[in-house]
Amino acid sequence: MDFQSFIQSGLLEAYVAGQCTAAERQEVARMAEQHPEVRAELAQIEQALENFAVANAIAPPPGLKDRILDQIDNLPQSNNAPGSNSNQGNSGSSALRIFQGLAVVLAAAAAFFFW
Amino acid sequence: MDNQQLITRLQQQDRAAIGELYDAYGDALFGVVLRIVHSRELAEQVLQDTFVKVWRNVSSYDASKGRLFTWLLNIARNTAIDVTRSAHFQQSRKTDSIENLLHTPGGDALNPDHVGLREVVDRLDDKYRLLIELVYFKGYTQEEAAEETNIPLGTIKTRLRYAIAELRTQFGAGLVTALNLFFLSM
Repeated sequence: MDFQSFIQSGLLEAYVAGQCTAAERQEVARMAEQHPEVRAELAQIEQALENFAVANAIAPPPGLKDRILDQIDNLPQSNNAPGSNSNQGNSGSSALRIFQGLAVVLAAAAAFFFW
Repeated sequence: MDNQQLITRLQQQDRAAIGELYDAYGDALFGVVLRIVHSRELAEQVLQDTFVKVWRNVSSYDASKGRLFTWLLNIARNTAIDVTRSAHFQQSRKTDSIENLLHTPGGDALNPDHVGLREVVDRLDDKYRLLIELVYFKGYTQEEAAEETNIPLGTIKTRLRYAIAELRTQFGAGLVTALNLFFLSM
């Protein structure tokens, strides 16, 4: 298929939505590799969706960023070393999650008693 | 924002980089997640899980397969959808109706630079905006969107393509206008 028809086919939109079959994904990857026009088209579709999401942004609560950084700080080291098993931190982080959940419950209970 | 540099720093476990990523995209991703799980409490947990997953899996991000935001969006959306599939969630909330989907919370337009983006999205006809929400932000396949909206699949495909094209034109036009204003003011 020539790249113009390929671009018109709607397959790129489906690809960005993550809704292609494996075979279709391979075809998109192949066409993107061979044709800068296809690459540019993909980038523009993705940019439009990013703009859409940014336009619909909603502020998370202010403390969330610190909670995320704290959780990351408490992950076991070398989670991201090349080739390392990214599942290493699982039991650690779920133990931490349970602890954090308990802390929230205890804090809520304390608030209930003292106010 | 130089995404390539950010990605490199994330892969080197630069803690400041994940903070910058959150500053850049946290509110956009929170909006996506909140509109799926419909609960602020759950959305906060999902957003937290998302950024931790991003941190732990950034080495698997492949720039040749797509842009960074698309990768972030997929993680956030899939994490949120997983929550909605849990038995607990299903018991506690009624399923999305079309009315719920149409009247989702509006954006905050937090950043003055993004007000223009907001205007473009608001100008988009409801039927196009709904399709984009369903297919790109709520994980509906085009077939599921056709079922949900009672619109033939062929029409869905055409409308989706048109909606994206319209967004691109309007966002591009906004950028051209902004650039024109900038150069005029110099």
